[in-house]
Amino acid sequence: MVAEIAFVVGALLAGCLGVYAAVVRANTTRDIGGHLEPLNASVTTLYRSLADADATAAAGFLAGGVEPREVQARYVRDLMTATTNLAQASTQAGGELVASRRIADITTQLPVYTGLVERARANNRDGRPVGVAYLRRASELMQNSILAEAAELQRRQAAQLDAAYERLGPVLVGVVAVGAVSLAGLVWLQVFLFQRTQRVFNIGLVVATVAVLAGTVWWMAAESVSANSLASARGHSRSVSDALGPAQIAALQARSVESLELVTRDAGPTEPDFAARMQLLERDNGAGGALGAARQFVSDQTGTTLVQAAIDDAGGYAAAHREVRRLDDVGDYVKAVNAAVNTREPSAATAFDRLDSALTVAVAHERDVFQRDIAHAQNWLTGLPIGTGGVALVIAVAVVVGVRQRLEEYR
Amino acid sequence: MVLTTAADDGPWAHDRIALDSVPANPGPAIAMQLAASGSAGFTGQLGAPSDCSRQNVLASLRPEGPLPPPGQMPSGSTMARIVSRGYLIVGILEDADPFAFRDVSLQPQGFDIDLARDIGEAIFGDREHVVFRPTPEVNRFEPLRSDQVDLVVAAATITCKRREQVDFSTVYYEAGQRVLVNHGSGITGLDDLAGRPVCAARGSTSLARILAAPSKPIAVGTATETDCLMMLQLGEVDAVSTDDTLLAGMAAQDPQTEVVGPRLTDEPYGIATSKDTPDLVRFINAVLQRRVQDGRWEASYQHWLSQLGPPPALPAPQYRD
Repeated sequence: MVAEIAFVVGALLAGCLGVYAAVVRANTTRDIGGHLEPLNASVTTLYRSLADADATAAAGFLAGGVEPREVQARYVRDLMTATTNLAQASTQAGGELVASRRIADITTQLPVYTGLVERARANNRDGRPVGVAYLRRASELMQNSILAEAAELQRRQAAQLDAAYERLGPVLVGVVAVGAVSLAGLVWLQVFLFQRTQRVFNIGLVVATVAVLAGTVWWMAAESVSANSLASARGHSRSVSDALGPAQIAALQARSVESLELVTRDAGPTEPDFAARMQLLERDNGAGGALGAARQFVSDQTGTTLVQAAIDDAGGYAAAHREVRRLDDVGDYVKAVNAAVNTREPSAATAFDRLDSALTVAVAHERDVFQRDIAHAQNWLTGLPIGTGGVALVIAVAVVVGVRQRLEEYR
Repeated sequence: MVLTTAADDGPWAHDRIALDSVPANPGPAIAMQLAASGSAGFTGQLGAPSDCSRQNVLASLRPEGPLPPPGQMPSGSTMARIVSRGYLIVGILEDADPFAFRDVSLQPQGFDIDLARDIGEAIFGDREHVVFRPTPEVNRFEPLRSDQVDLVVAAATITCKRREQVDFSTVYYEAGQRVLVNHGSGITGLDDLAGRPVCAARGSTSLARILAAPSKPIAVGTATETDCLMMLQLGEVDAVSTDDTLLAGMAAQDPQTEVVGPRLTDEPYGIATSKDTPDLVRFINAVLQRRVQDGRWEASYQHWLSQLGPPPALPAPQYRD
């Protein structure tokens, strides 16, 4: 009698724990795929579009009095992308205090930045040299203040994503342990009853045993498959957040420095700044830096090819930049500017655009594979909570029925 | 065009380097001079006069004889080296309207630029053989010290302190520090700016003057002069105080400002050269003399600085030898 109650209670308890664990796993996986990773991507896009806006504004200045139409269009697109992603981040941040404050800071500073850029442009168009002062101030605001906040936001997002992955730690051992203990318990019970009643098979207990076996096997399968997919997913999302994303940003910042160097002339040499950004991007031709890290992270053939293409393009951009510096250092300013911004012939502008596209394509591929992996993991985990609950219930009922039956017969 | 240098020593080749000690790694200018001279004797006087004072700070080196024809510089001279290089390298500001700035087609323009091109024309025969390099406003003479430029034409006031680092030509323009304010501010000079922010470029003599003003305004230093105009427009400073020529350029950009106040200082502008090229200084002084005589100086003034009034009379050039 006591044993029966103990068993039932134990089964129900295990069932509750199992259901809880299954729910956590299923939810976390869904959260990663549907919320955290997209949010991470959204914040990265925010950072990128802000950095690109800054680089574009400076490049527009280099074109002289009349800003080319495509430059203006790109700047506007960047701002629209930034504000859209800012709104998304704001919604997602919800009540979280620190994130909300950062987003609020960016939101209030962005109009100040665009105001300065417009004033710079208006002055530049009128041929007033004071325009350059406004542009420099705008760029300082963007680089030192707004982008710093966006970087913090991104770090927070990446940490949250990481924490979610950690919650999905392996439970295979636990599952096997629980299954083994349950099995052992049921076997002991049946042996005990056999000794008392000389009846080998008891439908209820047999059903219970089968259910335990089935449940354990199901959990083991779901666990190992989903763990595999999750590990792969994590690798792909990390390749974006820890490697390719920083690569895009380093490239954009280098471009910004390059343009600003040509625009602001005698505000001091900034070439070490450029070199530092390029180091972040691709130290030693892709052996190190963000692109080197990307090469470590990518796991499939396509990914590897795309990262290699980006590494080659980074080298191409570095070479184009060296040409710009060479022309500027010998005093041929007009040619230097042309080498920096002309999109109709091979230049730093075309090389940079190629690098930017290569990185974008690589990121898209990684995210694609990530989504597939996460969906795969989710498939194996969605039914788990209900299934676990059902199995636990079946075990409990079956044990009660089986033991009852024997006891009645015995009496 | 084939450029030749005079076969024998002309009047410009008398200078030799007078150094108490030759530096361990002489720059190309010194090396060439030493190689060309053969002997270590000297005939010229170099460096700042040992007692630099207000009276003789403006004294430069006297030109020796008439200018050599373009392309025929005395052999071994600095000018000959420039000729063989193929272009003159001039350090300029690029943000100092109307003395030096870039127009919409990104070409350097301004009063200083005209002067630089005239010097280039005296060496090469045309105005195209000049290459401009930006000099940082904070330390205008750095490129001279590292031999990146032959001379610096950058609205630089001649002072005793600066004479310790570089040599100067005779005065090519006399400016004076005044104050730029917004229209209707009621400010008539530094005396009205007690405790209020006044802007000038970091490292300039103007900023030092603001710091020393008896009315004790708050001195605000910026990377360039143009930043000061921006700060005035944004209301972050109440006034900008620097050479009236630069203020004239700002007032031309922004009709809501005006130049006020008495001339606080006399700012004699000179062309800066390395101390190791005294023959170049003499050459430049001769070019400056000729420029005044044949009217180019006045023409350039009328083009760039006419809003400051009729062309003032330049002081007579002073020489220390």
